[in-house]
Amino acid sequence: MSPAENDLARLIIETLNLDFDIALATGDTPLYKEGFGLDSIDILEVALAISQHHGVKLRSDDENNVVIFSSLRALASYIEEKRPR
Amino acid sequence: MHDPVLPALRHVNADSVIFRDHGELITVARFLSEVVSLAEGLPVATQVVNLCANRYRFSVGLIAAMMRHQITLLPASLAEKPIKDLADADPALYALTDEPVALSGIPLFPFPPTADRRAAPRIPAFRATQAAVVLFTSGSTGEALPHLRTWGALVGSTQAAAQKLDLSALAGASLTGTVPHQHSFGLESLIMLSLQHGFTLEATRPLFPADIVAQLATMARPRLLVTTPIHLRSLMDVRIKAPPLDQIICATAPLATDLALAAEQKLQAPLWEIYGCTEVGQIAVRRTVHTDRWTCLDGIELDARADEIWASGTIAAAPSPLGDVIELTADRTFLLKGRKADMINIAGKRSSLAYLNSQLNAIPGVEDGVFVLQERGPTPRLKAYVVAPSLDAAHINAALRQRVDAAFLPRSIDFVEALPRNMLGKLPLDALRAL
Repeated sequence: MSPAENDLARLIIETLNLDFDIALATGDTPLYKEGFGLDSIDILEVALAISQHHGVKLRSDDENNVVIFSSLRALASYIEEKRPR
Repeated sequence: MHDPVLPALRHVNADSVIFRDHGELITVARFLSEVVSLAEGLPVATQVVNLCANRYRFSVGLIAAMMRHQITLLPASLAEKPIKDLADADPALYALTDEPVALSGIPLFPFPPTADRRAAPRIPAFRATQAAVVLFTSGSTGEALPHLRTWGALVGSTQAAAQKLDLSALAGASLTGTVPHQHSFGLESLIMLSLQHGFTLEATRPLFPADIVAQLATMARPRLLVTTPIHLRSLMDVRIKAPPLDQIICATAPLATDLALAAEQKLQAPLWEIYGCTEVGQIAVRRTVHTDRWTCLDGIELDARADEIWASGTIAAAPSPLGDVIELTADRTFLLKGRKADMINIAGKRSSLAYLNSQLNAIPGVEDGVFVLQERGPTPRLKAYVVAPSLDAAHINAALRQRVDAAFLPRSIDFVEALPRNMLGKLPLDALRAL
């Protein structure tokens, strides 16, 4: 796990009060449904936390297109790409 | 008996735009020709599960099924077991789908590609007594309970709500929502409201706050947003820039007054809350920034029977006791005082702990188990205590996913040697928390 992925995992766990052992997470760990087991309510909370911490607004074409939540790595690289500099 | 015939939709003419799908405008003429062509192609059956995710195709499926006198079943979730149970009870049952779904145990009927455009057929109309949809709630003993809505109940409820929501200034409005249309609120306040008031409904459901405002910005005014307290709170993020709206409709859980005030200011529109339930349909409304009292819709009566409040009346789908603690006040108004102890509401999805516990205990290998609601964090979530020496958490989660809506999956599972049941077999909350 890269430092950015580790920070993101920590942010998600703290935001949602998840009972999830960060030592078990890798960059490939899925976020939505599997892995972290987030649902559509959770990802609203995560979107808010990412907006506040990184100034990045998450976008998806529609609810069936949550590619950026396919793994910790995918979300971390999305944030890195969109982060205001 | 008086049994009026009520039209499927009330748009001005065949060129009126009834849906917008990824920016593409869909007229009443095209909608109706697709309804007729789908109705001709549907399998022979008496019931259909409509799983279409796109609101346009869902609505085509709903009206086409009505034309074929097929009742549309709307399971509470996509969990496999409840749908398989329905299919086992009705061998002709099939599921109408518009995208791949991971379901076995029920024949799938994929929504056919758009048919050739024929001349616009007449607007179909249905008798008020015709069975339209069946919604499901979770019974306390573990089985899903069906709740029938006739076409007359759906239309009557939509008209009664519209009268209180003051929609007269919103003719030709465009509408979008963040809630699923397979549940009571979305069916009433997106699909039926749109069909019965000549609105233009967005076919896709936006997910993130930035998606919601981006979609709203492309919609013609007047525009309405149908949403929940959770989504409204996410829209209050200062980084999200929102276009002005003309009306906001919110339901699923009571909204705090300060959030209602902030939403009205940021979105520059009146915000109305609707109170309802799957058993009865829409019951009451309030303009949250003006009053904490709910006003009953015309055609709804509330009365106290023993220690419960029952809702009934001409627009009630069925008389039913309410799952909330209610204080009746004067002039057909009331205050909501919270949930009954056994009832839980996670993001608008209601269930009883008794039902969820019965599903947990039905998993082979679970010797005893119980769910506990945890109110910490922004959204209440469940935790489970389980006696299951041969199973791990992943196995239990996978088994639960087959049985209950994802919103009710436990945030954590604690394995214990025994649950601290008292002599009556009950579990005192303090004893559980001490585990």
